[in-house]
Amino acid sequence: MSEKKSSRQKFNSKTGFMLAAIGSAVGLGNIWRFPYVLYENGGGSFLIPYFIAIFTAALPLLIVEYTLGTKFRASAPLAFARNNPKLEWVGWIPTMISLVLILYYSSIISWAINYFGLSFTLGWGNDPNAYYYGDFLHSTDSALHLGSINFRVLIGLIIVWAGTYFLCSKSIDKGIEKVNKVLLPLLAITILFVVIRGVTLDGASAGLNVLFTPDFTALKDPRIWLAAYSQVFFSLSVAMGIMITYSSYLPKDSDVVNTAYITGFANSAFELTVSLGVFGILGYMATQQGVPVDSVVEGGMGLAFIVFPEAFNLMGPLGHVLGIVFFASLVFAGFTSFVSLTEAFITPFIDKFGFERKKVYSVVCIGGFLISSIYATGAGILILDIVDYFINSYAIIFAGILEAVVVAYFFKIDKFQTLTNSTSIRKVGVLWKYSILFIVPILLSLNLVLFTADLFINGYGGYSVPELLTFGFGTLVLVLLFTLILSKLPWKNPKDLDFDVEEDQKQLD
Amino acid sequence: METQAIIFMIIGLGIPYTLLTLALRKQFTHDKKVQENQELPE
Repeated sequence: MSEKKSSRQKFNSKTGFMLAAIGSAVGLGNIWRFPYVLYENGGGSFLIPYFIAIFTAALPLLIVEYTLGTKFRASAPLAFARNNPKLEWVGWIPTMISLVLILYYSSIISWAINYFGLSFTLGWGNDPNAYYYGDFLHSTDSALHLGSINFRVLIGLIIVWAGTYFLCSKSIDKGIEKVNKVLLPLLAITILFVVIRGVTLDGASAGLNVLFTPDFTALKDPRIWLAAYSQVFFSLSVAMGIMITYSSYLPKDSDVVNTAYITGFANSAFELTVSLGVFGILGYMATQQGVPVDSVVEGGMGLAFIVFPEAFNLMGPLGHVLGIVFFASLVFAGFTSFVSLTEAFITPFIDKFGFERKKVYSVVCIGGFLISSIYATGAGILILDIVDYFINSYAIIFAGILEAVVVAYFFKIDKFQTLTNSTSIRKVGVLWKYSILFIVPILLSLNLVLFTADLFINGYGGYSVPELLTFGFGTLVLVLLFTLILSKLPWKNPKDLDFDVEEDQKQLD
Repeated sequence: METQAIIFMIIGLGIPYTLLTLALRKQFTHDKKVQENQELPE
């Protein structure tokens, strides 16, 4: 083994890794994205495809990613290249996806930072909806019409990128591990507080009825299924390279299967608990306004920034405190996920080109800030909406299919299963095997076909074709282009690719 | 709350919380066993 491999950074403890993995999974996906996806897809009707998506695709792939990281001890591109150098590009796709995600994630955290400041004075006023789109975002009417730069969002972006540089350019155990040990428990406590208040408000039951009453006829709509698979992948950080990178910092004898279950179920339990609070508040607002729950707000990505401020306004003095607590936790949640995405993007460059960690972080943080400034323009939210839809509905699902196909048919599923079970206290069996062999590729491919058909027939969100081509398809093309370029560049140390995972594993026995 | 919603709430929240508890229990039992084995005199 090369010196570099043996000196790979490690998490100090299993708890440190578990908290980092949960921290990555528990984040904006749960607080910002899950409630609005749930709201847009009919509440209770969404939960059935949601659970099916977790068990048929997200968990099996999470186990695959943990195995790849732990056993091959490498980031996504190196892990695939170590099996077969021709497969390196499969690992660059999730890496490039993580870049797209960090660019727009930074702007959402910037919004949360701004709203945290506003919450001290309830500065969003009496009409949070108008404030959000107007006074705060200065939103334009087209993604192609950028408008002016929003300096408040820009300052938030500076805080996000500078904070990431100072925290993450340090080693894993001093940076991410330490951050998560403080932020995660803090986040859990603050969210619990908001949820308890949310479900005890007058009229909360109206919202909870919508959340937990399934409409089985809605299951015929393919868009709900697509939204469910996209959401669980986004939320569990699957097919973004994060989990491969994180688990590569674990000792090779680490448990894989049970850790995946703990991360997956903690994430799911957390987002469902958050939804209790969100729908409780929606029920309260509906009762106050005398309208049905599904027409309280327009929905969409502004849900957290419209619904919650409106609820805090209605709560009187308590709203002040809850507002501060809620937006602080939203910043924390976003930051833990942001840190993990940045790590997933940077590690492959360190692995392949031997760059120094601190230098890569400085380049990425400066470059990331400059590019993400586009989200600080008046068209920012529209661009974000299009990019989020395309990257989650297309790129992440595509990366998931590739991962499953490569593991099933190139790594050979039986060999991979033995590898997965070799150090796991809980073993995977035929269900997992058939999920990776057939269910994941078939179901996700079906999702892709449905997405494409739906896009060509109905378009998306009322956006024009040039808008979708520029920011939607444009992003996908860039992801593929950089994937091809990066996979063609030579390795600084080609010996890193010489790695016999079975031989390496035998040393444990 | 409506009865049907209550039933689905119990199922919806019950699935992840039960499975999380089981996974954590398995982990703690395993860690305890490993620790006990390490403490045994050779």
